[in-house]
Amino acid sequence: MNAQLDVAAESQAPWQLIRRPVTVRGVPRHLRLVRFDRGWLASVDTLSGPTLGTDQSPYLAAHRALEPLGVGITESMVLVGPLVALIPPSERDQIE
Amino acid sequence: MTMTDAISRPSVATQSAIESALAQFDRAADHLDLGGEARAMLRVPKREWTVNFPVTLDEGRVEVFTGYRVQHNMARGPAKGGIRFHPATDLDEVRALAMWMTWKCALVNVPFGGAKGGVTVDPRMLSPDELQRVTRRFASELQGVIGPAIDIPAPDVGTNAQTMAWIMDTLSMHAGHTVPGVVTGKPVGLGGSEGRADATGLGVTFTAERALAEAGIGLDGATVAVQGFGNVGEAAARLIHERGGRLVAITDVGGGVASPDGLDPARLKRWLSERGTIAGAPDTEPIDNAGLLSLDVDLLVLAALEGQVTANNADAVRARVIAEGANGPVTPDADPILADRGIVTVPDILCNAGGVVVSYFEWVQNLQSFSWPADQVAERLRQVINRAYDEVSVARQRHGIETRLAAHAIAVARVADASQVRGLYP
Repeated sequence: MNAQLDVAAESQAPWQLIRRPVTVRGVPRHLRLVRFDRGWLASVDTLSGPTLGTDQSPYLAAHRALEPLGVGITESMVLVGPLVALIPPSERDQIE
Repeated sequence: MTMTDAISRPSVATQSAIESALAQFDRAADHLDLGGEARAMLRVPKREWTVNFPVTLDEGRVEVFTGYRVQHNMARGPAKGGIRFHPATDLDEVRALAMWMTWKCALVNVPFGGAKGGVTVDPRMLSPDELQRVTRRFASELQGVIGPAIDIPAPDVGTNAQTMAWIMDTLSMHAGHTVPGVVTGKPVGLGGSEGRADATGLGVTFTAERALAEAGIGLDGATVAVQGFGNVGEAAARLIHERGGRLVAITDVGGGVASPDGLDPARLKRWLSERGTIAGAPDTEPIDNAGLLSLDVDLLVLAALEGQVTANNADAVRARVIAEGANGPVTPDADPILADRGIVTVPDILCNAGGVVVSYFEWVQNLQSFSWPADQVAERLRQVINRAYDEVSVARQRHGIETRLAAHAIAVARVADASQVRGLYP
């Protein structure tokens, strides 16, 4: 699964954006995960507009965003997949 | 009453049960990047009780016993967990076991939280009447603490269906009416579920069979060693034997037996009922725990107590697959040693979850005043265990992590999610 990592242009980037292509019930979608200092924001577009999930854990945030589509916590974890590998090594120390 | 699954703890334990439980939780929380507030709530028990209660022994002397009940988390439903009678039981052990119950119930997705209880006593040293008095007085001390909608105990090490019947009767006397749903693992005639007695062993067999298959080994013809021949070990040995597994060694509290041609668990059970141990059974060779753990076998079932494979002896293990029929038999510091050597471990919260799944079925049947036939119980159990196994397998592969971490991550995520959605009171 391809994923894309965007980092804010500023030298002291206050956030990171991860775009995760996911397929939910056969429909391809883009899950957006944004990491801030205090946690994560997740969102996915639906016919009725974007969903929104926030939590200190990216998986729980993603679950909040995907739950309106009928996605459970375990499936959310699988759709998001590993995240640490996406963060540049120089910034991994900042994750915690 | 026989002491069930009682194997002594290692002489040099590398990690206590609570240290193991917390280390496993921390790894899962790290993997999930769980927030500090959620970690703080899930790392400690919600409630815990220590009770000291006097019981008159047969000789007329009064002895004071100490018992514990710990409810770790109830975000997903009433607490659920066994009661053990064991001389080494203490509060920290019960805390660890309660935490593991929370994750186990969440992993198999039954609507329970986690709890555990115990009395520091060697049940083999008590007469049946003394045991009944200890059980009833302990149950009485837990009045208001346990109940069908609060916390539902079940058998564990050193307790059995009779123990549960005494607890149910005691709480029913206090309530003034029969309360079958206050415990599970009761005798079938008192509302127990068909299939409950073998449920944990059946779950061990299901998961072990799948892990062996992933390693390219069929259970039929596989060589198997089993540590523990009590509630879990005996059932697992019998069910594995029925499926063609060759039991080459089994140990229990009194020793062990080995035979390269295969052991007959039915014969061993008869010998156990006569002698109190399987040691010395005819046509077998003696073997101790260290010898059993180091056997070159396809499957090693650990169905005794926690802390059996540690960093001190993990190098000696030569099995292809380890099935954790007991809770916490492999310590966290042993996990990487086993993994580096290519040994697959089916983690306890998945491997031995069959018991709590059928306990859930029993609780549901009690609430509905209905009973399911044995084949229906077994089939539903198979479905639940297979679904959990599939979820763990997919998460393990997708995240590139080992099975135990995948299982704990799923479980912790479910509980954390339930806690967050419920929010804080007030």
